[in-house]
Amino acid sequence: MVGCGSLLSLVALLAGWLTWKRPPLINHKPFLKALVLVSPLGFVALEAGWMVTELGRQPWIIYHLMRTRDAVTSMPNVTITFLVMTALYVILGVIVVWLLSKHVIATPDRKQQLVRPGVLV
Amino acid sequence: MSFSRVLVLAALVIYSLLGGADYGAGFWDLICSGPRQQDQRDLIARAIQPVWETNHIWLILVVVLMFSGFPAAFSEISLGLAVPIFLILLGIVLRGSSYVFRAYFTGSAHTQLYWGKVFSISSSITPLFLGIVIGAISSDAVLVKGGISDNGFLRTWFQPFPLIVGVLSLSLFAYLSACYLTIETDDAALQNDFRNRALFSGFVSLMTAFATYVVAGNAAQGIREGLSRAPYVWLIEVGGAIGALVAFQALWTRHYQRARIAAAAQVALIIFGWGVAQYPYLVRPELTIYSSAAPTNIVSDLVIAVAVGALVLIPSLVLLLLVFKTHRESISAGTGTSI
Repeated sequence: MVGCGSLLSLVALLAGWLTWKRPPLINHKPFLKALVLVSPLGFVALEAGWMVTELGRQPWIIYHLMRTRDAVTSMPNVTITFLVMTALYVILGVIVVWLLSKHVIATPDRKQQLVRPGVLV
Repeated sequence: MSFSRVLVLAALVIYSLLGGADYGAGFWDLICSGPRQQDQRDLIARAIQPVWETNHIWLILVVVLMFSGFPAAFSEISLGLAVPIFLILLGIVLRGSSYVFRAYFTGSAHTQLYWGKVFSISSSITPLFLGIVIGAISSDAVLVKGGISDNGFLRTWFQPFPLIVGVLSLSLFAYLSACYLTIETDDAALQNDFRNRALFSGFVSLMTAFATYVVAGNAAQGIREGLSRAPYVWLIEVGGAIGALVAFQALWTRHYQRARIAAAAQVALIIFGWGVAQYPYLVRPELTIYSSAAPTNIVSDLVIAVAVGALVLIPSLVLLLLVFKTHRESISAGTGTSI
């Protein structure tokens, strides 16, 4: 997480330096290539950050105050909730990856789409 | 303690007035019909687009105030009403993601319509279960002993009273939404579509409210007594009735601005009246705001935190609404070009 963050800030600094030294930036091929290469690092940093906080503090749920096993709910059948939610988020995750890859790889054919509804987010 | 209870109630009222209307809009998206079906969907999408995510902060506020301020009640609700709460969560997740997927999907129109269906169905189910939770905590069925629900997973809520409160909340949200939508467009035909829907759903919600009161006689004595207890509860009820009359008269004569304000006041007073009738209980029959509250120092810190948060939140929300809801012409001009 820290490594990704530092690398990304270095790239940002480099962008600033190049804009100052050799504008315009859009013609600087090696820099553009580097930009493409580092672009997944934002996601990696985000996920790694969650891993550190969620896995790193085990076996505590509240660090040095309460253990995870003492915090488990008394409700029966938690497995069902857990499985349904996991399945839901796996499906949503697959759809997100698929939509993102479509946006990145393919140029969509606008004519086939609904012109309306003007649903923009 | 009473003050943080008022905060919970206020957040619930604001969530219903803003977020509730978004759910109602999803419900109208589901049953769009007639020659202007597509125009109706466009209007709905355009109206909720800038606000539907923001409006959830009020629900988050309710949840946070409950678990920090009234942890015993929060725990009892999440255990006893695990099923409806789980379905609310499912509805909120599916609704938000399908709305975004519909907007960003680059394939066929058919699949976009499919996402629209998921969006509108989950928008309609969520308020139903929100109402069911409200009905269940008013009706003496939620009892938790030693971390286990006395009435299991279903008997806490799958009963006439909670179910009818669920229908009431869906019809109220649909009514609010139809009232709001009349002023989101300049097209007289579209305005008329939603005016008729507002009148229809308003009528349905009045009938359901009456049915709720009747069913409460058997199932929820406590809340019914609460409703007919003190003179100020009557004042709130009369206020709600006046709101309803003004809203209906304004809709009938096509004064949409006035209808919107009166309908919002009506719904706010109904929820406020429920809150007062429920007092001092949070979850009937056992937990009151006194028996379920966190230690006093935590509650007072919580109130300070909310006050500080409001300093940031309220101006930002006002700005958001000013930007997106007062310059409608420029927005609708922009929708064709951007994505």
